[in-house]
Amino acid sequence: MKKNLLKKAEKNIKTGAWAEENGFFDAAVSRFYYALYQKILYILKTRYSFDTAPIEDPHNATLQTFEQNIVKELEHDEIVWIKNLGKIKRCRVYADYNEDIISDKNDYNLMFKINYNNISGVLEKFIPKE
Amino acid sequence: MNKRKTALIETFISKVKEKYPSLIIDYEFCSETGEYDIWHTDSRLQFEDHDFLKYVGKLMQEILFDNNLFEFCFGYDHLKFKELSSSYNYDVIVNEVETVLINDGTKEIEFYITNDDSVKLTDLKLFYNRINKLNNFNIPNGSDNFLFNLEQSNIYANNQDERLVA
Repeated sequence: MKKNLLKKAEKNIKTGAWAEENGFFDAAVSRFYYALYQKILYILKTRYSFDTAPIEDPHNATLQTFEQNIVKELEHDEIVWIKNLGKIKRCRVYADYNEDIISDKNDYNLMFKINYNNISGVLEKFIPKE
Repeated sequence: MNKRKTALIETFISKVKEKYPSLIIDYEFCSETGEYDIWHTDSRLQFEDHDFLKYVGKLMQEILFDNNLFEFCFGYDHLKFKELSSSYNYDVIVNEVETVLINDGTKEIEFYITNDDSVKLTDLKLFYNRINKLNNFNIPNGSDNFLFNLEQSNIYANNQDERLVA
Protein backbone atom coordinates (compact mmCIF):
# COMPACT_ATOMS: atom_id res chain seq x y z
CA MET A 1 0.00 0.00 0.00
CA LYS A 2 2.87 2.35 0.71
CA LYS A 3 3.85 2.05 -2.95
CA ASN A 4 0.56 3.71 -3.85
CA LEU A 5 2.18 6.93 -2.66
CA LEU A 6 4.79 6.50 -5.37
CA LYS A 7 2.06 5.84 -7.95
CA LYS A 8 0.32 9.03 -6.87
CA ALA A 9 3.63 10.87 -7.11
CA GLU A 10 4.14 9.60 -10.66
CA LYS A 11 0.68 10.80 -11.66
CA ASN A 12 1.41 14.22 -10.20
CA ILE A 13 4.73 14.34 -12.06
CA LYS A 14 2.97 13.58 -15.35
CA THR A 15 0.32 16.21 -14.62
CA GLY A 16 3.02 18.71 -13.64
CA ALA A 17 4.97 18.05 -16.83
CA TRP A 18 1.83 18.56 -18.90
CA ALA A 19 1.06 21.83 -17.09
CA GLU A 20 4.63 23.00 -17.59
CA GLU A 21 4.58 22.21 -21.32
CA ASN A 22 1.40 24.22 -21.68
CA GLY A 23 2.71 27.20 -19.70
CA PHE A 24 0.49 26.62 -16.67
CA PHE A 25 3.40 27.18 -14.31
CA ASP A 26 1.36 27.75 -11.13
CA ALA A 27 -0.37 24.41 -11.63
CA ALA A 28 2.97 22.75 -12.44
CA VAL A 29 4.48 24.04 -9.17
CA SER A 30 1.56 22.64 -7.21
CA ARG A 31 1.61 19.20 -8.87
CA PHE A 32 5.40 18.80 -8.67
CA TYR A 33 5.37 19.86 -5.01
CA TYR A 34 2.80 17.22 -4.13
CA ALA A 35 4.84 14.61 -5.98
CA LEU A 36 7.78 15.47 -3.73
CA TYR A 37 5.59 15.43 -0.65
CA GLN A 38 4.23 11.97 -1.50
CA LYS A 39 7.75 10.63 -2.04
CA ILE A 40 8.76 12.08 1.32
CA LEU A 41 5.81 10.35 3.01
CA TYR A 42 6.85 7.10 1.35
CA ILE A 43 10.44 7.42 2.56
CA LEU A 44 9.31 8.34 6.08
CA LYS A 45 6.97 5.33 6.28
CA THR A 46 9.38 2.79 4.81
CA ARG A 47 12.60 4.01 6.38
CA TYR A 48 11.68 5.71 9.64
CA SER A 49 8.44 3.99 10.69
CA PHE A 50 6.53 7.25 10.34
CA ASP A 51 2.81 6.73 10.90
CA THR A 52 0.66 9.68 9.91
CA ALA A 53 1.16 13.40 9.89
CA PRO A 54 -0.63 15.40 12.60
CA ILE A 55 -3.96 16.95 11.60
CA GLU A 56 -2.74 20.39 12.52
CA ASP A 57 -0.11 21.77 10.18
CA PRO A 58 0.68 18.38 8.57
CA HIS A 59 3.03 19.60 5.85
CA ASN A 60 5.37 21.53 8.13
CA ALA A 61 5.40 18.72 10.67
CA THR A 62 6.11 16.09 8.01
CA LEU A 63 8.84 18.09 6.33
CA GLN A 64 10.57 18.84 9.63
CA THR A 65 10.44 15.20 10.72
CA PHE A 66 11.81 14.14 7.37
CA GLU A 67 14.62 16.69 7.39
CA GLN A 68 15.73 15.83 10.92
CA ASN A 69 16.02 12.18 10.02
CA ILE A 70 17.41 12.32 6.52
CA VAL A 71 20.20 14.88 7.03
CA LYS A 72 22.16 12.31 9.03
CA GLU A 73 22.46 10.25 5.86
CA LEU A 74 23.41 12.98 3.42
CA GLU A 75 26.52 14.61 2.02
CA HIS A 76 26.96 18.31 2.75
CA ASP A 77 25.82 19.46 -0.69
CA GLU A 78 22.74 17.25 -0.49
CA ILE A 79 21.84 18.74 2.88
CA VAL A 80 21.55 22.17 1.25
CA TRP A 81 18.94 20.87 -1.21
CA ILE A 82 16.91 19.17 1.48
CA LYS A 83 16.94 22.37 3.51
CA ASN A 84 15.38 24.00 0.45
CA LEU A 85 12.14 22.08 1.00
CA GLY A 86 10.65 24.91 3.06
CA LYS A 87 11.21 27.26 0.15
CA ILE A 88 9.60 24.80 -2.26
CA LYS A 89 6.58 24.70 0.04
CA ARG A 90 6.40 28.49 0.19
CA CYS A 91 6.57 28.57 -3.59
CA ARG A 92 3.63 26.14 -3.77
CA VAL A 93 1.61 28.37 -1.42
CA TYR A 94 2.53 31.36 -3.61
CA ALA A 95 1.52 29.48 -6.78
CA ASP A 96 -1.78 28.35 -5.28
CA TYR A 97 -2.94 31.44 -3.40
CA ASN A 98 -1.03 34.56 -4.42
CA GLU A 99 -2.74 37.00 -6.77
CA ASP A 100 0.33 37.07 -9.02
CA ILE A 101 0.62 34.45 -11.73
CA ILE A 102 3.90 32.76 -12.59
CA SER A 103 3.79 33.40 -16.32
CA ASP A 104 7.47 33.57 -17.21
CA LYS A 105 9.36 30.32 -17.67
CA ASN A 106 12.61 31.84 -16.43
CA ASP A 107 10.90 32.91 -13.20
CA TYR A 108 9.35 29.46 -12.89
CA ASN A 109 12.73 27.79 -13.28
CA LEU A 110 14.50 30.08 -10.81
CA MET A 111 11.70 30.09 -8.25
CA PHE A 112 10.92 26.42 -8.37
CA LYS A 113 11.97 23.95 -11.05
CA ILE A 114 15.75 23.93 -10.54
CA ASN A 115 15.26 23.45 -6.80
CA TYR A 116 12.67 20.76 -7.46
CA ASN A 117 15.00 18.84 -9.78
CA ASN A 118 17.83 18.90 -7.26
CA ILE A 119 15.65 17.88 -4.31
CA SER A 120 14.08 15.15 -6.38
CA GLY A 121 17.55 13.85 -7.24
CA VAL A 122 18.39 13.52 -3.53
CA LEU A 123 15.10 11.75 -2.75
CA GLU A 124 15.62 9.19 -5.51
CA LYS A 125 18.54 7.76 -3.52
CA PHE A 126 16.05 6.55 -0.93
CA ILE A 127 13.44 5.09 -3.26
CA PRO A 128 14.03 1.53 -4.43
CA LYS A 129 14.19 1.06 -8.19
CA GLU A 130 11.56 -1.19 -9.76
CA MET B 1 11.91 34.54 17.88
CA ASN B 2 14.28 32.70 20.15
CA LYS B 3 17.50 34.56 21.05
CA ARG B 4 19.65 31.43 21.08
CA LYS B 5 18.36 30.37 17.69
CA THR B 6 18.72 33.79 16.09
CA ALA B 7 22.29 33.98 17.42
CA LEU B 8 23.05 30.64 15.76
CA ILE B 9 21.44 31.75 12.48
CA GLU B 10 23.46 34.97 12.56
CA THR B 11 26.67 33.06 13.25
CA PHE B 12 25.88 30.82 10.28
CA ILE B 13 25.28 33.83 8.03
CA SER B 14 28.46 35.56 9.15
CA LYS B 15 30.48 32.41 8.39
CA VAL B 16 28.96 32.23 4.91
CA LYS B 17 29.87 35.87 4.36
CA GLU B 18 33.44 35.26 5.50
CA LYS B 19 33.97 33.19 2.38
CA TYR B 20 31.47 34.99 0.12
CA PRO B 21 31.68 38.63 1.30
CA SER B 22 29.63 40.14 -1.51
CA LEU B 23 26.77 37.70 -1.11
CA ILE B 24 23.50 39.28 -0.07
CA ILE B 25 22.14 36.91 2.55
CA ASP B 26 19.67 37.49 5.35
CA TYR B 27 16.90 35.75 7.26
CA GLU B 28 13.30 36.22 8.32
CA PHE B 29 11.30 34.41 10.96
CA CYS B 30 7.93 33.05 9.92
CA SER B 31 5.67 33.00 12.97
CA GLU B 32 3.11 30.93 11.08
CA THR B 33 5.47 27.98 10.52
CA GLY B 34 7.98 28.69 13.29
CA GLU B 35 10.72 28.44 10.69
CA TYR B 36 13.63 30.74 9.90
CA ASP B 37 13.83 31.52 6.19
CA ILE B 38 17.48 32.10 5.30
CA TRP B 39 17.64 33.60 1.82
CA HIS B 40 20.26 34.88 -0.58
CA THR B 41 20.12 36.39 -4.04
CA ASP B 42 22.88 34.67 -6.02
CA SER B 43 21.41 32.06 -8.35
CA ARG B 44 24.82 31.26 -9.81
CA LEU B 45 26.20 30.17 -6.45
CA GLN B 46 23.09 28.15 -5.64
CA PHE B 47 22.71 26.41 -8.98
CA GLU B 48 26.22 26.27 -10.46
CA ASP B 49 28.79 26.32 -7.67
CA HIS B 50 29.22 22.92 -6.06
CA ASP B 51 31.88 24.23 -3.66
CA PHE B 52 29.35 26.74 -2.32
CA LEU B 53 26.85 23.97 -1.61
CA LYS B 54 29.46 21.84 0.16
CA TYR B 55 30.67 24.78 2.23
CA VAL B 56 27.17 25.87 3.25
CA GLY B 57 26.09 22.29 4.03
CA LYS B 58 29.10 21.83 6.29
CA LEU B 59 28.28 25.06 8.14
CA MET B 60 24.68 23.93 8.56
CA GLN B 61 25.91 20.74 10.14
CA GLU B 62 28.44 22.35 12.48
CA ILE B 63 26.56 25.48 13.52
CA LEU B 64 22.87 24.59 13.26
CA PHE B 65 22.21 20.83 13.37
CA ASP B 66 24.89 20.15 15.99
CA ASN B 67 23.14 22.75 18.16
CA ASN B 68 19.79 21.08 17.57
CA LEU B 69 18.44 23.79 15.30
CA PHE B 70 16.48 22.29 12.41
CA GLU B 71 13.65 24.81 11.99
CA PHE B 72 15.02 26.71 9.04
CA CYS B 73 15.15 26.64 5.27
CA PHE B 74 17.88 27.95 3.03
CA GLY B 75 18.28 28.91 -0.59
CA TYR B 76 18.27 31.36 -3.47
CA ASP B 77 15.17 33.55 -3.37
CA HIS B 78 14.15 34.72 -6.82
CA LEU B 79 11.38 37.00 -5.55
CA LYS B 80 13.85 38.75 -3.22
CA PHE B 81 16.25 39.08 -6.12
CA LYS B 82 13.56 40.72 -8.24
CA GLU B 83 12.47 42.94 -5.35
CA LEU B 84 16.02 44.18 -4.74
CA SER B 85 16.65 44.67 -8.44
CA SER B 86 13.36 46.40 -9.13
CA SER B 87 14.62 49.96 -8.70
CA TYR B 88 17.16 49.46 -11.46
CA ASN B 89 15.26 50.22 -14.63
CA TYR B 90 17.39 49.41 -17.62
CA ASP B 91 16.91 50.18 -21.24
CA VAL B 92 18.80 49.85 -24.50
CA ILE B 93 19.33 52.80 -26.79
CA VAL B 94 20.57 51.85 -30.24
CA ASN B 95 22.99 54.50 -31.42
CA GLU B 96 26.54 54.13 -32.67
CA VAL B 97 27.04 51.92 -29.72
CA GLU B 98 24.37 50.41 -27.57
CA THR B 99 23.91 51.95 -24.19
CA VAL B 100 22.47 50.57 -21.04
CA LEU B 101 21.05 52.98 -18.55
CA ILE B 102 20.51 51.99 -14.97
CA ASN B 103 18.16 54.32 -13.23
CA ASP B 104 17.24 54.48 -9.57
CA GLY B 105 14.56 57.10 -10.23
CA THR B 106 16.82 60.08 -9.64
CA LYS B 107 20.05 59.49 -11.53
CA GLU B 108 21.18 57.42 -14.48
CA ILE B 109 24.30 55.37 -14.90
CA GLU B 110 25.37 54.65 -18.44
CA PHE B 111 27.16 51.56 -19.73
CA TYR B 112 28.30 50.83 -23.25
CA ILE B 113 28.11 47.42 -24.80
CA THR B 114 29.00 45.92 -28.14
CA ASN B 115 26.43 43.17 -28.07
CA ASP B 116 23.60 43.40 -30.62
CA ASP B 117 21.31 41.32 -28.49
CA SER B 118 18.99 42.86 -25.97
CA VAL B 119 20.69 43.50 -22.68
CA LYS B 120 19.70 41.47 -19.71
CA LEU B 121 20.36 42.08 -16.07
CA THR B 122 22.59 39.03 -16.09
CA ASP B 123 24.86 40.77 -18.62
CA LEU B 124 25.32 43.60 -16.18
CA LYS B 125 25.98 41.10 -13.44
CA LEU B 126 28.79 39.59 -15.47
CA PHE B 127 30.17 43.07 -16.05
CA TYR B 128 30.20 43.88 -12.36
CA ASN B 129 31.76 40.55 -11.58
CA ARG B 130 34.56 41.09 -14.03
CA ILE B 131 35.34 44.68 -13.11
CA ASN B 132 34.89 44.43 -9.36
CA LYS B 133 35.82 40.81 -8.85
CA LEU B 134 32.49 40.41 -7.12
CA ASN B 135 30.44 37.29 -6.85
CA ASN B 136 27.19 39.15 -6.92
CA PHE B 137 25.60 42.04 -8.73
CA ASN B 138 22.55 42.20 -6.53
CA ILE B 139 23.21 45.37 -4.59
CA PRO B 140 20.35 46.41 -2.32
CA ASN B 141 18.87 49.86 -2.52
CA GLY B 142 20.55 52.49 -0.43
CA SER B 143 22.56 55.64 -0.84
CA ASP B 144 25.88 53.96 -0.07
CA ASN B 145 25.34 51.29 -2.65
CA PHE B 146 24.26 53.82 -5.21
CA LEU B 147 27.47 55.77 -4.64
CA PHE B 148 29.36 52.57 -5.28
CA ASN B 149 27.59 52.29 -8.64
CA LEU B 150 28.29 55.91 -9.50
CA GLU B 151 31.94 55.47 -8.72
CA GLN B 152 32.15 52.62 -11.20
CA SER B 153 30.24 54.65 -13.75
CA ASN B 154 32.65 57.57 -13.47
CA ILE B 155 35.66 55.36 -13.99
CA TYR B 156 34.39 53.96 -17.24
CA ALA B 157 32.54 56.99 -18.56
CA ASN B 158 35.88 58.78 -18.88
CA ASN B 159 37.72 56.00 -20.59
CA GLN B 160 36.13 54.70 -23.76
CA ASP B 161 38.66 51.90 -24.17
CA GLU B 162 37.79 50.42 -20.83
CA ARG B 163 34.05 50.55 -21.29
CA LEU B 164 32.02 47.44 -21.02
CA VAL B 165 32.38 44.72 -23.59
CA ALA B 166 29.50 42.48 -22.69
